[in-house]
Amino acid sequence: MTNLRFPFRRLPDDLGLMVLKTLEHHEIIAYSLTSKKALSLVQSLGVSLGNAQIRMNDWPNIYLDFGNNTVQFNWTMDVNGEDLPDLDEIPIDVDVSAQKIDDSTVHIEPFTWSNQGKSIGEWIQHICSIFLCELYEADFHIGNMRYDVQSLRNAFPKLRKIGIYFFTAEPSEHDIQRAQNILRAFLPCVKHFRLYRVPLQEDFSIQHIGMANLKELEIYYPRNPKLEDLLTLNAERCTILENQFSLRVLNRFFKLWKKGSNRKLKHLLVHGNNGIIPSKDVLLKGLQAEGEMRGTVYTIKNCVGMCGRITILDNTRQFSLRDLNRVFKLWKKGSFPKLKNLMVLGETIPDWSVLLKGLQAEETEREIEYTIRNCYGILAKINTDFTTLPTINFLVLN
Amino acid sequence: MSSTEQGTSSAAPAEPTTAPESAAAPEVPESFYYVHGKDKVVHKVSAGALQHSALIHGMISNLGYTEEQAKANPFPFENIDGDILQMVVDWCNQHKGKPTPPEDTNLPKQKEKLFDLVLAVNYLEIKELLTYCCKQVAMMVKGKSPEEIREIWMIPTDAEDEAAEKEAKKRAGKEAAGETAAAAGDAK
Repeated sequence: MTNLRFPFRRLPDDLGLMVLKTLEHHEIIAYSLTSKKALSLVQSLGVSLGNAQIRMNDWPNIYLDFGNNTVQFNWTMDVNGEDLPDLDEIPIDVDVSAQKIDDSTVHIEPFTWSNQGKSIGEWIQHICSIFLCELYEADFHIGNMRYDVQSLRNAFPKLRKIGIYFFTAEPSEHDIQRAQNILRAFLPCVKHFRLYRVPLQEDFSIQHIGMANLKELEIYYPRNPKLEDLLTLNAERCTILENQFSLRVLNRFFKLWKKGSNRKLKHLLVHGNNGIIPSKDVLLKGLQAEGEMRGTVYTIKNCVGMCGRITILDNTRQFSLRDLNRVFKLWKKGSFPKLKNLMVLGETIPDWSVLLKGLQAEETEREIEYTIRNCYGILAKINTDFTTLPTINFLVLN
Repeated sequence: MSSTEQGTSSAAPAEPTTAPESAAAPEVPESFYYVHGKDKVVHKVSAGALQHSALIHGMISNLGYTEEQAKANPFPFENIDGDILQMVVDWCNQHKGKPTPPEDTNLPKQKEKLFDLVLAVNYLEIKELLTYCCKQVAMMVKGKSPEEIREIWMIPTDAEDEAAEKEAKKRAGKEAAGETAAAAGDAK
């Protein structure tokens, strides 16, 4: 380390703030950890943060998205003891990764910081106290987590959205209990939930969640959903993907909506993945629906005069990974110059060897993320987002 | 008072470049002003160079000195060390009439003086130089950990801050008590 010193705290506050404004975001966070007064000065900077995602994966991490740059904190915990560590425990160390996109190049700088004597919960609170961010999200990957989640509400900032994900086919009782604990902890205060393959049980069912006056509820792969479940969904927006609802059940739901049920509902998306265009006759029977637009959009009216629009989407066309690989190859050769973002929803986790074949893709430091460059030197990143269905994201960086 | 004419060397080469214009319009002679710091060493600086400093520029505009008056009344900056003022004057001369580049390679190299330089530049209101100086201060902690930042920027710990605050309160209390006692003595 350099021997050069600078008495920063002797600077007037306005000059101190000028200096802090020229720091990178991860350096601002590092400075805020030096003392309470430093934290207070950093807070007065009022730096805005686009999105903060707390991911409770194998180890907890937080991903801060500032637009042109991102900072990720990964906390490693000690698993030597008999009990699983929890968020009140102090991590062994903290891996910080700062990523910056500059002139079509991605710069990644990894650092390792000491734990600063803070528990994971305190780290999360500290980081979230620095920035002005309205969109805090938390994702819980049940089954992968190697720690216990206790005293959840205290550890998190005010969350806007929560996602609970199960990636194992046969979850343990303990994992189901964990998911229920998370739901119980956050249902009273969070308005947007995403549940991915969450095995809900009788003592804590979709109906319990549906009654929570949510703004938005997304359910992927619900187990044995019933009409009663749909009718109790008191959410404004509701998405149900990979469902097993029959068209008859949906028809009954719409009939009941016409009679005045689910008045809060503004948007319902039901994705069946049957691979065939649903039989409109069964779906629309007895609804007195008025058709528009080549017979794919229908309007129905309920007893209080509210209009609802039913759109039948044809999702029979499917891209294979080979198709996507070919699209990326064409992009590399200069095709699709206006393309900025391509997002393709899949049903299974993609086979990267097929998707990336011949693309000379470079792996980045983030998990399952690659970059490719086209003939004009333009850089794009390809990654997978499991926060919905397994999704392949292609994002042009400049 | 000792006197040096630091600004003349950099001001002189400017004359030939303005010479061709003189054929078209009568050349307005460049006016010079004089500044000195704590060490009383006087620096001669052109008005063009001094325009970087909002403070001095304001003083010049208000005073309307002639050359003679300016020489007789150098601007005193007793709160700025002589070597720091020298750095500032050099920078102003180097950047006279030029657009300031985004990355300045002419920044003073003696980083030990950076703190005094920042304060002086802030006082003299030289916006561009202040921006560069702030960047220099920020560069000192580039990529550093919290512990390294604490050491480089000499950040006191919370315990040290608390102790200093207690000490300051104690001192303030003593001073207030002293003043009350003095006021009571005066009243008698």
